[in-house]
Amino acid sequence: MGVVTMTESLMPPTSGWTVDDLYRLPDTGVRYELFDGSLLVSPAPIVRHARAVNRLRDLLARQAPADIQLAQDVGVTVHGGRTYFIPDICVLPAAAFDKDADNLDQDDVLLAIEVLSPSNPGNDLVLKRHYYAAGGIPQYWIVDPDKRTLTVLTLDGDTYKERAVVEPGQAWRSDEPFPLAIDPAHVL
Amino acid sequence: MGVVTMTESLMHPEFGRPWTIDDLARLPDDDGMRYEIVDGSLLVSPHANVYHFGVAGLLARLLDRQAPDQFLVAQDGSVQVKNRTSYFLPDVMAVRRDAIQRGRDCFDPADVPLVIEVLSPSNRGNDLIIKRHYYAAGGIPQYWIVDPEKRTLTVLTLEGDSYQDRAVVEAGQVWRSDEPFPLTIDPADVL
Repeated sequence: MGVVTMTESLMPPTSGWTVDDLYRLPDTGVRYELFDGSLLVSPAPIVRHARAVNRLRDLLARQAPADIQLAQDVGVTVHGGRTYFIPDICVLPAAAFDKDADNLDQDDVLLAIEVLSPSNPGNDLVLKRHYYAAGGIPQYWIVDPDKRTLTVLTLDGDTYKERAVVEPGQAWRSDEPFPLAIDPAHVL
Repeated sequence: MGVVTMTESLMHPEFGRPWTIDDLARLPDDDGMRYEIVDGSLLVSPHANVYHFGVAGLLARLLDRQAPDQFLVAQDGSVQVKNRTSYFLPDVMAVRRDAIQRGRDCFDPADVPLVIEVLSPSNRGNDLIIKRHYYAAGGIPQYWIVDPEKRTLTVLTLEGDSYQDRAVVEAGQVWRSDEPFPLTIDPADVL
């Protein structure tokens, strides 16, 4: 391929990026997300992060009923195309996969899960906590590989409240979004 | 300068490592983009429009006129927080003049008693969510948010490790403070 100049490829409209602009960006192993029309470029996750994501997804998949599906690294728009995040794991009604769309939207997601990266925990703890709540996603889980904890946040009005910080050796049991039991020791 | 390719500019030199201020030198400075770093992620935003630039410029001028010698209030500065993996370009900032002499590539939060952001209609989250968090995490004592739509100035002051809303000043009202230096401002003078 030829050289793509910054001017050609990066310039968004002055009102900012939308999800339709992302296909023009190069696939260099980084993660592209959007909030309010700004582009956020994050480093690729490290191996330990991927292991935690895989284990958690497997644990949830074994317990999920037939009408629930799990998605890994699928993009979710929040109230239009100017905010777009890629949660590590999404829990969805199976019907959400029937849509003929490039990405999910906030109403499809029953639970979003992020595993913190040591290099940049702030995006999960600050930015996504805000926008997932703004999108009305009922539950947000944050897995912290350093502290070895699972933090369960549930929507209360338009912000998340901390419902539990689950330590390894404990099990988080809930009926939402489906009957499940998760011990962080099995993930981290 | 030669052509900078997307691949060069958006691929981190070390796969999986966070961006730091040192990586910004590789990015073009004339492409109409604002590059900031949020906890190791690169944040790319369109440049402010003329009105936004003007509001920030008037604010800087109005405050700098009132500033004593040991402070400067200006546009187009930059500040790092947290080990060079968070880096922001405030619309306006008050800085200590002695920090200028040190000639670093950006200011440390300790040299910045006040940052000011003018909200853009297209991107409010950057100022209201991200910067509110990181300016506080850096320990910057005051953060002002100017809202051109509502014609207000919101004054935030640091309490512990987060900002509390101290005042919402409407156009036509006057905000008086002794911090970071004795000043008065009516949002109507800049909006």
